[in-house]
Amino acid sequence: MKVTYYPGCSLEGTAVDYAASIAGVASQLDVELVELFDWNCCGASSAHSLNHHLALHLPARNLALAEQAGRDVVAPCALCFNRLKVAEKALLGPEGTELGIAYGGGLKIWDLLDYLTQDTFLKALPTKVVVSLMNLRPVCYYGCLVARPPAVTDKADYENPENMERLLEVLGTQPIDWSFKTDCCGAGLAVARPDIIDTLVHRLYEQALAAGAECFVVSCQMCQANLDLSQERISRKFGQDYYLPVFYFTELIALALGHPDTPKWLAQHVVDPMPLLKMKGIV
Amino acid sequence: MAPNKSRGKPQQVGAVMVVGGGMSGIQAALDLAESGFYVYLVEKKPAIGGVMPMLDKTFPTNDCSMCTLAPKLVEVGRHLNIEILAPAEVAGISGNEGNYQVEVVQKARYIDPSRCIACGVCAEKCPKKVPNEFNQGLSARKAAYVLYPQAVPLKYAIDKEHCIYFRKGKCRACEKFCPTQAVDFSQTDRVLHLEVGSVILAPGFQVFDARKKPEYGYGRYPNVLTAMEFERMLSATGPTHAHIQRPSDAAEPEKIAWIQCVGSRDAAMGRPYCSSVCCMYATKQAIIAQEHDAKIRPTIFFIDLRAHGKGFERYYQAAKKLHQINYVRAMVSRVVQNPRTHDLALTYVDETNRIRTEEFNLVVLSVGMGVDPETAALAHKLGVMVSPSNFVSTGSFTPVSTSRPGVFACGSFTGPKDIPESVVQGSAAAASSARLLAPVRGTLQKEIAFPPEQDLADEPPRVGVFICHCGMNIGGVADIPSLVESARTIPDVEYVQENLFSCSQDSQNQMVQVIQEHRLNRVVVASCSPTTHGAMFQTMLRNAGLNKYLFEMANIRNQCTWVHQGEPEKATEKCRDLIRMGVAKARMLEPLKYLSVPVNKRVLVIGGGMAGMTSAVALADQGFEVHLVERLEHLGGNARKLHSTWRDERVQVMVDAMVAQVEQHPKITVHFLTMVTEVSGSVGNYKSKLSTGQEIEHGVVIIAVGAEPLRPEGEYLYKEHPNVLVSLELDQELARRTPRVKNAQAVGFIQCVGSRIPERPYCNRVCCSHSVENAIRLKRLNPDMEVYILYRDMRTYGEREPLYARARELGVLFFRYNVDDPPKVESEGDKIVIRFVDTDLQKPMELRVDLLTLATAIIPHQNAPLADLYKVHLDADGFFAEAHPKIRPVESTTTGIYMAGLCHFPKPIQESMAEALACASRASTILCRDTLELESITSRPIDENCDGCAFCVDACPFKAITLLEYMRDGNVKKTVEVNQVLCQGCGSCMATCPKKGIYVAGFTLEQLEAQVDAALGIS
Amino acid sequence: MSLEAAANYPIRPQVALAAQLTKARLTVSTCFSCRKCSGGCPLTFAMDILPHHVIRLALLGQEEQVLGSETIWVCSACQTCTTRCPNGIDIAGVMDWLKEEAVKRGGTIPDAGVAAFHRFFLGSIRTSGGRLSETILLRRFTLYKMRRQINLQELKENLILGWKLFKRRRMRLIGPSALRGKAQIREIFRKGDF
Repeated sequence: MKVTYYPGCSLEGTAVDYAASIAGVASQLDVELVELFDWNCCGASSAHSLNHHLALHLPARNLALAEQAGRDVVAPCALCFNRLKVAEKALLGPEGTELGIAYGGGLKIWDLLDYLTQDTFLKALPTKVVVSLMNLRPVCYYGCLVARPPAVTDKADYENPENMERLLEVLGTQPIDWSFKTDCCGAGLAVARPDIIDTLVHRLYEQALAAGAECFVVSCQMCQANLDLSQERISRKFGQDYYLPVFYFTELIALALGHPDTPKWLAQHVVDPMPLLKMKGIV
Repeated sequence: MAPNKSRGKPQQVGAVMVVGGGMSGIQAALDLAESGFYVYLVEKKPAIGGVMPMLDKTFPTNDCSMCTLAPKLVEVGRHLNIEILAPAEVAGISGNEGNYQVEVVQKARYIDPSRCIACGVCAEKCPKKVPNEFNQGLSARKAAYVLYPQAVPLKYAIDKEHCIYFRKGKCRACEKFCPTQAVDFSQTDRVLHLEVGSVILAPGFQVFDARKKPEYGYGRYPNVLTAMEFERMLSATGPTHAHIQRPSDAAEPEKIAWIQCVGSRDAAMGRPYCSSVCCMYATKQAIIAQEHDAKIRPTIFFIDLRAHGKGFERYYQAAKKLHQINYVRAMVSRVVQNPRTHDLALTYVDETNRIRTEEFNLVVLSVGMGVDPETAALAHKLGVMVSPSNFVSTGSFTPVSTSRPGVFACGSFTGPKDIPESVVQGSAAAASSARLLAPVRGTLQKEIAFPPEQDLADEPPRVGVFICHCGMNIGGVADIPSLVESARTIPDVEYVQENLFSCSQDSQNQMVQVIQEHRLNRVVVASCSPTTHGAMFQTMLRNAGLNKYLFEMANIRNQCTWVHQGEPEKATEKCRDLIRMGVAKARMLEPLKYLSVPVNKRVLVIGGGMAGMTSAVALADQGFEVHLVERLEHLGGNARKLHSTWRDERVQVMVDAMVAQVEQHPKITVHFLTMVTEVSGSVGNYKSKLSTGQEIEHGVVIIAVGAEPLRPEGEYLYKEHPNVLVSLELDQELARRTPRVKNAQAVGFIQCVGSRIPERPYCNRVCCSHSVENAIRLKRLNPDMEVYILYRDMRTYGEREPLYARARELGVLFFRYNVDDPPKVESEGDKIVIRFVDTDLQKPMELRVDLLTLATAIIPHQNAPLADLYKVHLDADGFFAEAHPKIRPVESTTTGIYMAGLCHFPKPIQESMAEALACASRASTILCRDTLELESITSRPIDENCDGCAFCVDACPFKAITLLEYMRDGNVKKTVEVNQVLCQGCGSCMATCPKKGIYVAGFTLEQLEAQVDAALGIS
Repeated sequence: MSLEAAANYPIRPQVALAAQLTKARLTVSTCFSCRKCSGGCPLTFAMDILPHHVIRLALLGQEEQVLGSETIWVCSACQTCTTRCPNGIDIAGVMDWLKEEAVKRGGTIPDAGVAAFHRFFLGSIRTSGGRLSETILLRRFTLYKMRRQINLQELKENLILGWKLFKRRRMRLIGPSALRGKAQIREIFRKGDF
């Protein structure tokens, strides 16, 4: 399968580990990710916060380029996915002509998780699993922007998505259900207001532990960063000793499928997942 | 039944099809069957009843739903002129009003109803479990099942979709074990072609699927229930036998939260209307839950509390103050589950504007009403126009008429509404059909025939005692088997039996057989109240060939087990006493001659407003002579002051048309500037004297005297500042587009002036919608005009909710004020300044307006004199009181007297007209008869004992006794005479008489003494 | 001016702000104060005015209060409010509009750090010709913060974090290179008046 790939700026920067695991998994699943030629930054939260023109035109340029490429687009970053969808709706909506960009809308915009949890992949996975992830008790954390608002994302299961859980079940783990799968981690406020991230992420840690989980599995690198990078700081602030590794779902796929580079990517996390994986007999 | 075609024009058919066997359809069917028409009642499910049997108690009386419904179900089930087709569906229709051909698919139930005795063995033996839809999936039924225990018809059915035989070719256990060989797998769906004169659509509503609001966790978290599921949990026949428990661990919840407006008032998901009943039903559920378990602490999360019906505001205030239910004016965004305890945490903005999170043991979602896709498809197939939300489009002046002539609609299909309104509309639809088909009334009716009554002559009493469990109501408290045992030992008791539900049709049929088999000649039923069920059991006796007065009822429920729930042993003993007392009297009962009185078919309508005129025309069109009494010199009443309805229909045009119709109608005589001054007689034979001196003899009375607006002198500068108006005054100015309205820069409205306050604790129902309508008109007149509405709760119920949304869209600003700190209004030259605290922001507000409109109360006229004349009751607020708030909303407690419109309670024109039509329908069930059967429990003088002291004459509240003199043995003998028609059998005369000179047949002193002795254990 | 500071002043409705929002297809007037948005917002702990009050005050034209609130800057645009509003109001969109308007009008921004971060983000894209350099962004922002207030603890934490990321080869020091279409990017920024 061939699809246009829109990595987004952080996948080339602080989330290179995510990018690497994506590339690794893609090859294992026979997916050819063709990077969108000359893609630009989608504007993230800063564009829609300060300038509505940039907020639409930055992602819209990418859609025009994707249309030229003639394939569906897949975006690993939830915020990029959301911005591309916003632009898509605007271009195809009543004010579309005002934007002055020709866009036919014949391609589908996917978030990576949705793409890799299509039935074809889920059905093919069990035969490829070589490492048992059986003892792992994760909670799935989807974050907000991959699902909301449904009028933009076109997601039917926007309050209680379950595709990550289905994927993890296929890989042999027993994901734990909890009420906070799509709660906000603080997203783009991480740099300017780390105190807000502390409060939000601390809540998530506590709820994950209350549900009986020992790690997170995410599909968005901003969520991963907020859950991973701040863990030590939050532990100190709240007088706790949190150890909750944060896996990318692609890392778990790669782990289960026995990709040799997986330890390399896991080593790039700040919260080292190895002790947990060793304890569970997975490595 | 082929139509008689004469020269190409088909003749009208004297039959009506009612589609839908819920409360509204049932009412329509009964009215029609009782007024001369044959009715096909087509019901999709295997039994009629609709949603009402699923309800536990109903607001605002907290009566048991099944109790109020069951007598009607049985009446329908046994009515000779109602043919129930269930399960069946309408497939198509052709023809015109007066003569429709309807194709009905009668679905196979795979059980022969003529053989099924509802013994339940098939269900017992059936191995296939299926979620029980009646119990909202909270329990299981079998593939062979009966819809609910008191179902009518009480016949089992096999669910083909789940039956193992149909799916896999195996089993057939039901067939093997059925004692009457009623199982018939060879049944197929049959197509029936039925000829009817009109069709009434009463398909009811579909409960909103709460999974479509996934933020509330329904279907995900076990302790989140819908209100329907909770209703089943409260019910004695429900999945937990009325034990309130959490699905996750069966523990008893203490903190229960209700979340309102789930699937209603939600334009974002395409359900913009208000479902009208949820605020009230949540309040009711909270109150009843506390009755079940005093430790339950309910909290209701709402947007606006809609208690806009008669008695509803009081109910709500009592819930707050007496029952201490916590009402929180904030919507909950989502439900979060505690993974260990399965408690549910709700986060909301509290009354101090702080964010609070509270944990609850159980959450109930107040789901709304909608139209199910099959019903919408049927409407489409029949060519009936519907609104965007799929409710039938009706006009305000034709509230039950659809876009297709001869096809009427009633109940929640015309818009979300509660039970009383559904009953009213059912009757209104019946009136509409009757009016159309009056020429062929009686042509297709079957006549009832009771078996001849046995002459008991000198037979000793053989008493049959039937002790009812009433589900858990009696059986859950009293020891029924013990009562059965002791009843057997009472002398003269020949037969004793216990029933689960004596009122179910099946029980009735079985009891008739028992009476005949055992040659019983007195019957005691120990169950509930004679008020609701007495007549039904009396009819049962007649069906068994016994005089109906050989029946006695021992109320061991309302007067025993319902009161003494906490003391079962003592309650059982009291039941034992009551049963013994019942038998003591029953022994002494004598058959009484049936009295009947000819019916005068003339109608008196008091009040010439829209309601009065509607009733008058509806009856006159059917050929009845109507006298309409109007105290003013013109017709039209309060409608003369109105201009547009909430759907922008022109009122005056319709009023003029109606007035013309009335004044030109050959069968209507209007008496202007006239009132009623004297009344005598009773149903079928009234004599009303008018202020003109004329006396009118008539059979029924319809009271439609309207009401008047409150003049709020002294409030908010009314009459002190020229620019303060009441709603009706603004209506006039808007209609005339006066300069001050056109040029106003800002207009304000204050709602609830004189309403919902201690001295007038009712909601006036129409004002929120009316002010919103006017606000929209003002904005249309001048989009730049500032329009402000100050309210307490915005009660734009039903399909009026989109009006409220429209007003907001247009920029009308709405402010909530607190009744404890009402707005202060000051004059500033021409302008008026309104100062108040916005309860949402909790900040002071200041509005400057050019015009201020006060939405004031509607108050009843001085109704006491009229009420006294006809001996009907007024409620605590001075409005006419109906016989039963739920199921007899347009009838007074006195048979033959009906009420419609504002004199009953404030309401909009369409509801007044629906009530007026309903009155016409109810009245026609009497008017179409030549004679009316009367109660035989009346007083009879004993001439030998009477010495003419006349104490009884004064004591009689119905003026039924007159003093007589005649000559006997050369002396003057004084005695009294009782008018059997006027006598209501109250017994005041018997209680007053010092000479035992008068007695009430069926309640003699000897019978009462025998009961007292039995109570004391002497006999 | 926060809601508290406005305590003594009666509110007199003004229409201008709501009209502007309506033109931007953000119809706040359809709100019926159900408070569902505030009940579900995860950021209320950091806000001075609750979301539903922002909508109400915007509707009543209380420009100073809403444009000067901290609320709009700490909204994380998680879209919970917009998703669940029964009247379909894009509350998160209103927050965005108010931020843009607040900057346009030039008043004091209570959470200047957040605004600055967004400014640097967009500036960085423009400078690099289409993509973000996280390193440049973080550097600019850290300097900005230090100029305002030196918080040694925070600085230390940031440096340690920076080092951890760099060690793990997650902190690019060079790039990204400008796009082929950098002229298009420049044009987009020009048209957007940024």
